[in-house]
Amino acid sequence: MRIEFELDARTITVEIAPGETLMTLLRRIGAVSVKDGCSRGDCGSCAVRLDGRAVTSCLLFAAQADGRRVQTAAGLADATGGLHPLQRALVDAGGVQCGYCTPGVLMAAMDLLESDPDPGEQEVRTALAGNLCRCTGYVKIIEGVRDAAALLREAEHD
Amino acid sequence: MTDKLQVVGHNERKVDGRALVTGQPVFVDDAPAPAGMLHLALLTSPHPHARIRSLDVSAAEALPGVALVLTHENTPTRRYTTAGQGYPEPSPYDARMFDPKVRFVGDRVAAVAADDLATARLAAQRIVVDYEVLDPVLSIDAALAPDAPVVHDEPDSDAFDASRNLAAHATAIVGDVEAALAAAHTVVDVTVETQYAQHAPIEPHAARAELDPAGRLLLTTSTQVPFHVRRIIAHLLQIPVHRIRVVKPRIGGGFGVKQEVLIEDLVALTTLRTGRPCSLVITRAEEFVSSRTRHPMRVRVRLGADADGLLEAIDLDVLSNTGAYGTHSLTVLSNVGSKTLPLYPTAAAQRFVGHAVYTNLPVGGAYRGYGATQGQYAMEVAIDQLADRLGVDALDLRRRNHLRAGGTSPIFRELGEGREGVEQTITSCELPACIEIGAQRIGWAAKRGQRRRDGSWVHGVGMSIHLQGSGIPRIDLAAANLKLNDDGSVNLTLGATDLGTGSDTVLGQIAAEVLGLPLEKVLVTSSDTDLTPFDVGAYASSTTYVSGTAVLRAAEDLRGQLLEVAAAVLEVPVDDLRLEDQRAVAADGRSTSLEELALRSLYAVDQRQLAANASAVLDTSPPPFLACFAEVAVDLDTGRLRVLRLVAAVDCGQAIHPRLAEGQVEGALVNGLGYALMEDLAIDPEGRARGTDFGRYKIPSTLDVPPIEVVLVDSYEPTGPMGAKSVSEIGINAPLPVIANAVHDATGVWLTRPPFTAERVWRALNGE
Amino acid sequence: MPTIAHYHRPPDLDTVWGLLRDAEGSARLLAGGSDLVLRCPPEVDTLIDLSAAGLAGVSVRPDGSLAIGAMTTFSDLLVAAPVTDHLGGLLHDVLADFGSVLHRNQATVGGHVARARMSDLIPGLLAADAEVVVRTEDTSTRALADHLAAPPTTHVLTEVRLPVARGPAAGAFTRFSRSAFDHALLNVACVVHLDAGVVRTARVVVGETGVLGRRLRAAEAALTGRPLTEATIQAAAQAVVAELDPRQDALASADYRRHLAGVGTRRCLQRAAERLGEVA
Repeated sequence: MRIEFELDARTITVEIAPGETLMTLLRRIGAVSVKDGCSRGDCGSCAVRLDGRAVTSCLLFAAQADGRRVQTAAGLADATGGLHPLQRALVDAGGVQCGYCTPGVLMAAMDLLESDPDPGEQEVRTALAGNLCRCTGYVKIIEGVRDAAALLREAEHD
Repeated sequence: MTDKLQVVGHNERKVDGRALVTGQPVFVDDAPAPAGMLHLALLTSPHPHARIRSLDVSAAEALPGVALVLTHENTPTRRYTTAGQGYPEPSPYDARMFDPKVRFVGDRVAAVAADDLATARLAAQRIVVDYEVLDPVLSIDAALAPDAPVVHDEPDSDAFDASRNLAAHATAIVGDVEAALAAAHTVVDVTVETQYAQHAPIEPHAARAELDPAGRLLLTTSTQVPFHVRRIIAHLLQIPVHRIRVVKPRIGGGFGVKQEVLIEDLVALTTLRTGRPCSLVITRAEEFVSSRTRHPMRVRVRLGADADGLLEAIDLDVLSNTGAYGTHSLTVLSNVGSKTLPLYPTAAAQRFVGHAVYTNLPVGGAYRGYGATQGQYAMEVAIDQLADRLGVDALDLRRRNHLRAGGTSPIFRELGEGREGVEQTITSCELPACIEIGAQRIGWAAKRGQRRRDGSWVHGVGMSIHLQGSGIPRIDLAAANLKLNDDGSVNLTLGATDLGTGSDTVLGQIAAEVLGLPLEKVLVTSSDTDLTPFDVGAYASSTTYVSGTAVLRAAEDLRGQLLEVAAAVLEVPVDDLRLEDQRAVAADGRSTSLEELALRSLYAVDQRQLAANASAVLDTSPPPFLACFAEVAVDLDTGRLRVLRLVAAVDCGQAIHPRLAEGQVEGALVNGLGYALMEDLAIDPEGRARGTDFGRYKIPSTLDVPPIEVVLVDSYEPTGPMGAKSVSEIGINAPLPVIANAVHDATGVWLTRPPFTAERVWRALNGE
Repeated sequence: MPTIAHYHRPPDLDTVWGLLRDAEGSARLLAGGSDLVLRCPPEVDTLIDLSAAGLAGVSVRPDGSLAIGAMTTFSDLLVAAPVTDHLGGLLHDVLADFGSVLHRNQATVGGHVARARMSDLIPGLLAADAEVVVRTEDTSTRALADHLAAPPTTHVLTEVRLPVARGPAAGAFTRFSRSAFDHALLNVACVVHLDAGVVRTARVVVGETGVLGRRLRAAEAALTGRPLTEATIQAAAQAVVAELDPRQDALASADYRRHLAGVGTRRCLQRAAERLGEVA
């Protein structure tokens, strides 16, 4: 079947198998910031935002994205490649080690920051509970997301 | 020190940070598939121990799209080890690419290459295997039973004593331990039994093979050891080293499991046989079951001490379960002794006896901590038990006995990496400061022994101290090249392997510091066997110390060359010059830019490429030190154990990149926390691993991790690059003993079997 | 990958039902997606996506009962005050620890109830005497307990209803697990309805793997007709321990689960009492 959806502000029209997952489709068409860590919805590496909500793309059928809006970590930076404050803050806090979980973390964190401009530590922990990271111990990821919130609040004031 | 440093000691942006945070295609499986690429699927054994009577692959081969089926009948038969260690590897050559005998559930039986993954998987299921099922060996005790089935009955086994299921054996004896224990005022005797755990890198093993235009084999793989991969694949497949190029792109974590050459042989042979590119990414279930694990161990430690708590004897007896193959069996075993005993040199009599046994269970391998995790758990609990028996503060007892700067341990000499060790004197040890700072932060004096109640919860605090190493002395070799470019930037090429730790950044910082460059003008290329010089790879906490020394030496060499050119330009003696802010500056204040020096050398006067190469193989392995403190609460109603806070004060010498160093410790602590509280690759009665996904094998999430404070204590290691030691492993050793000791402080029970599940704690509270 | 040949996203419930009925067992309803991706039966070749059929959202019905549309996600449910306030916060207890945000954003109430496996939500709903609205050729409402015991073979679960409590009532839920985000070893949901200071009716429900939610009648009897005192609560907890016959598996022994059920019952009843302003 053929579906059409918005991927990081581009319109994608693509032929899919109705049983294909969204994760498989995205990686197949080159959206490889979406990672496959477990294919079972346990690790969060494949997280994307579907109509503004972070979800595990490995547990969605690609067909479910038809007519909807999909955002990935690759779409966060601006058109000239300038990093989003969240990307900057996460790297600078030391929240990126191997980087494999990072795109998924970014998606879950964006969800949080759009609904809560000043999340406390516990709110960040709750928001990222579905994103497994084996490198950082989460300390600096949590710090990075809170730093990003501060950066975004400053930008709001300016 | 740091105030004089421009780059080292500063939290520079990670050199790969931008690529990672924008989701660039930098991992093995992110690259677009080359035309005609084959996909591999594995068929693995459902039996823990069986002989393959026959295989029928006809149905698999008949499936449209199947290009090749590999089994023991059509693959090289020479023996090897998957352990990615130096040559010759100190692990038995007890594996074959495919073996007519399978030795654990998950052992390789066949691999199928097809046009697409679904076809490959379907075909693998169509292979008919006739097994002669053998009695399995499913525990350490079963392996050692007098009439136990023999796991490795091949006649040419080079294991320690395969007929008795002994893969490896190691001892170190100093003084008369039995006499010292008999004469001691107080003796404690502790046995702990640790479980299987899996590294669980979020990226599973992934490898691709293709033929380059010259017909050479290009392997792109998620490995910690690219040079060992090249050598081992050449040996196994009998192709010359010069026909192979191994490239490690970004990799999604390793923690030791990617120090194994687990899948590269399959993609390599498929490509050589078919001429087509080939890809294999193993599934999460295969990662859990068929790759490598932490060796489960039974560790018994006996301590003898005088009435003041001064240690007189330590006896360490270790049984390690290496599973079906002996990868790292000897060296992990040796490290239980060599990374545990030296911390307490006051004991004049010390003995280490270790055996690694074969079983028909998942295979042990290198895992962050590498035996120290198991040994230090037993030791640090024993130290607390001794303090408890003597009525001495556990903190004071450790202070009276621990290793110090200027001190040594006979164990350094007696016990090395599967052979004798290397004598060394400790040249930096800030453990006293670590203990003091940690104790202060946790509130040791106020909280210890209080058993504060809060409803059904009771609180306690505990501590433990640790050491690790910085590379393997006189074995680990690292090399680095530096080359000057037109604009004064340099290319730093090195074999060192960044597996997410940030070593490309840290090593770049060392070069930048020496050359007076900002980090962005050091262009780091690592881990390509064609383009970069040799390095053993990322293991044994070697990179910052050993590879860092190679970089330092290369940078100093290049600096010397730059200063010579500058001396000619500025007409001053070399000794009057220094490099700073991208300029060579004379004592009188005149200066010339590195760019000018580069242009002059490349295009004008005395033309040559300014470049340097240096190697490092070091005589010592200075240990980083760590003091860990934990506050826990135990629910007396349910046994639920909550870690409320972890404090770790670390001596890693000069931290090259403090934030990355902290991150190493935080990550290691949380990995150890998972091992202590929830991780368990439990085996069912049929020998099958139960946890094959993250739903069943739990690793910590954000909600399982307490507030963690890591303090990098001021320190300087005189033998290290810029004063640095390594820091990547040590933190993983702390959670087991520090939590066990804190639980004892809270409740009076000793936890000796991780993971410390609520039920286990509840049973311990009920006297079981 | 499931071998699916057809995917439909019908615009209304009538079309959904027509497609489902005509597929004669070869179709599955697709709610959030998560479960079907992992466990699509081999005979299924058709997916019917419910996302456009107007089944999402929470509303208060004229009689005061709550209607939760089958396609309401757990994230939306967690911020639906009528639901989280219901029975003093019973479902807030369930929802606050339910999965990760990634799952809550995706999983739906209807999909979760329909999959009928180990669940933290179902014991909570059973303790709240929830009903389900089921569409077949016509539309019917029945108790969730009856529905789970004997679900119609082909049906569309369209709504979950929470009846309004008459008189003071409150509940609580608790779960025990290895890690924060894990299948529960066991969970407990309790609800008590008071009448003139004594318990008029009580619900004590325990869930574990293989048992979606079992009502413990002896414990409920131990509560009924008595004031909600510490002694009553202890008696109920003891009745749970005596009555429950939990499973033994790799994660926990039966003994331990039985013990946890007692602790969980006591804690839930104490919290319910607090929520009712009763001193327990």
